[in-house]
Amino acid sequence: MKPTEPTRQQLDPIGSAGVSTITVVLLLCLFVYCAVATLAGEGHVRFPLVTLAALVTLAAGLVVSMRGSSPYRAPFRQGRHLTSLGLVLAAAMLAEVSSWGVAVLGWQNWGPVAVGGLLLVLGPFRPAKEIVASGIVASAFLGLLVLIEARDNPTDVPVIVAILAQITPVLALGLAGAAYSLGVTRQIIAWQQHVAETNLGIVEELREGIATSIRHDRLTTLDREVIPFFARILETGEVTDVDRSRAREIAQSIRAIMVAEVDRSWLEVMIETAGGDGPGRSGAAAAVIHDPERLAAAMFVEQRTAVRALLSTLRDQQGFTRDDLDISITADGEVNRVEVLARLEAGAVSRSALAPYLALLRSAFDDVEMDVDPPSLRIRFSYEQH
Amino acid sequence: MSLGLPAHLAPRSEVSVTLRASHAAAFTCLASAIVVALGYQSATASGTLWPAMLAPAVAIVALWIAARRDTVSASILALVVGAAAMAVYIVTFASAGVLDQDDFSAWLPAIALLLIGGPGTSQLARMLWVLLGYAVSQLVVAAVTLSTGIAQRFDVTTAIALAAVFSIQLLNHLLRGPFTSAQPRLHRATRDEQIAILRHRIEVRAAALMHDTVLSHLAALGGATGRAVNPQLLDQMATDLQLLQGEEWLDDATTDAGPSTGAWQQSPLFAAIAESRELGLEVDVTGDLAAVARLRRGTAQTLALAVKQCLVNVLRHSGTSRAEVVIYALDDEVSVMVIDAGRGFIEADAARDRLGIRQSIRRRMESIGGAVQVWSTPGRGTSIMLRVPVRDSAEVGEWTVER
Repeated sequence: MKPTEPTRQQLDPIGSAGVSTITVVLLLCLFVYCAVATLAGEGHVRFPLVTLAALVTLAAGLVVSMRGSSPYRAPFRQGRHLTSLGLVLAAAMLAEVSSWGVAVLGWQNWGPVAVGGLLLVLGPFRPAKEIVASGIVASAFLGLLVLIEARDNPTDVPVIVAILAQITPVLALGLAGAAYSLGVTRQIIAWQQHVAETNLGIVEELREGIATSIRHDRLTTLDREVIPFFARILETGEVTDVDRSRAREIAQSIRAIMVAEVDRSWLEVMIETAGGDGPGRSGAAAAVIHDPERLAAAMFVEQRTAVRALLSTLRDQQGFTRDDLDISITADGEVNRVEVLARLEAGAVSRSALAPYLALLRSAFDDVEMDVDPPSLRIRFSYEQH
Repeated sequence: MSLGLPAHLAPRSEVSVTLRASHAAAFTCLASAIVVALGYQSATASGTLWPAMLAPAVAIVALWIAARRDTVSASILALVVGAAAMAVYIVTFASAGVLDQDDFSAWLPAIALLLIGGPGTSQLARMLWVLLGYAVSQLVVAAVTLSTGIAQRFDVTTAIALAAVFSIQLLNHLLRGPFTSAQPRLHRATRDEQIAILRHRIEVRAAALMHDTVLSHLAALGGATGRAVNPQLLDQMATDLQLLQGEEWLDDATTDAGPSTGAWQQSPLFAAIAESRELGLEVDVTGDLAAVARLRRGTAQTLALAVKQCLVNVLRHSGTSRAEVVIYALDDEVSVMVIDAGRGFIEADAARDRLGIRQSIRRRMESIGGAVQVWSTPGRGTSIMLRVPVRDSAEVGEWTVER
């Protein structure tokens, strides 16, 4: 799993699932703007085919970002950002070339707005520093283009003004995107710290209760055989052959219980204590979870939390029980592969209702895939062995 | 943790962050306006454009104050200053004869005006602020036209900017929150995971204690020769029974604070080695003995219990009655090596129901963020290295991987 980057999407995958729709609509609006600006600025165009190529390239660049913003493809990584930005910059360059030698400085000069608009909508998906760096590089590129154009075709407008007309939209919108990214990630991190502290306090309050319940469990085991046995030995100070074999027997049975407990993974404990039809069905987890190599234990806290949230969603579906769930974890070279199979009532859960959890799994695991084929649901993901 | 903002905080956060983003764009427009004026100044020898450089600079200061204060009065002040700056900008450009030479520079202060915004979390309030900024910019154009006769073209760019800002705000408002119901579930899962970690830690401690006490004594009784029980074993049994029935034995050792203060003789490790000696093992201790005083109390206790289990294993399984304990100290960790020249073993071959190394040593060390390495060759003896960090073990605990 790649490390988490400071982006809204990666810090808050669930909350960011809805941002995708906004991104798609904004990018569509951006394309419409560019198309209208092209039509309005028809008079400046010297090479119509280049204009067409510019719009096609722009569409390709925007589609890369639209697809990338989907929670089903989360997280939006640097590669997608650079591919999309590269295409949109190429489109801006083609737009500039199509009216080469004619100074188009107003709103009809859509190239810089397209580049800036892209950087703005990347705010929820990429780190602020990266957006700023992209803005600076894109501005330098577009500025240089204008400089070359102005050298060959002098106009009344000073070169610096022509360059500023080109780079101001990129910088203004890019910095707005970066400010959004920085502000939102700071707020999420502050909130997460607050929650972590609050939870620590709550867990601390529960500590005594948990310790008492574990102590009670252990003493129940000891009270039956060990304590009376020890008490008798302490009283007499002697052991007989019967005592010796009794000691071995008790040791054997306690060891068996302890081995079983030690080998039980967190996932089994979770399924047993919070199964679909109430706690207390001991051993039910074994029927649900197939993890012969105890691989569940190798998940990090973040990964366990994501699995917990997903399973709790499934568990809360109408009529869902542990019998409808099947989890298997297998080793495959360097990675462990998890497959969750669930049977749900037809129409109980839609793909979109699971989108936030899928985004959450994507933030914690690799190779996340989901197939919904009512009534069955299959989710697969993997994590590295360590 | 992947926890996002909760439903009651998210809208407020969204408003403050989008306002910050629009301020960033406004600052850029005003800064660009200053450089544009500089550009024209350098190109025109006759005109004087310095007021067009100064005015956006003053507007930047007013905007900065509005961004810092986030009050109605500060925003109004920024609008007023911004409007005055815009008027000065246009008049200066017109008097220098460069107004409308490009279709770009005049809209910079106007766009900055509609991006000033102001306090208020409701959608209506935010749209009204933007509309107010736009209205002010158009009033400035009208006032300049009326008072000086300078006519301007309709400003398409600012109108487009207004439409863009409105669209972003509306989309954010309409499409933002369909998944907020998933957030509380994640919140619960996060808390459940923390409780599970705590529970696991206490269970590991309980299991290790059971192993060291009850199972250890049962093994000693099962293997005892002769009728009378060794008085030391009886003493130990009596002490351990009291411990098991008492209230304190499951206190979560990893949460107690403060470094252990005692010197070597007061350390739990010293006591563990002394107990092993009482059981009949000869133990040589060398190395940086004072280093154990750097460990936190809970960590020192857990380390001592694990070392004791290593020494008990030497006595029971190695076929020798001598062991060596070596303590090494680094800046951020303390290592204890338990070495014997006994018969050795292969860890993977150890019986599956043998819990000693797995439970009493390995798990115990992992529960405090430590690690265990075992080197053993049949016939040549065993060395076990126990490493523990010298830092807050509660912090380590959260990220400890269960094995």
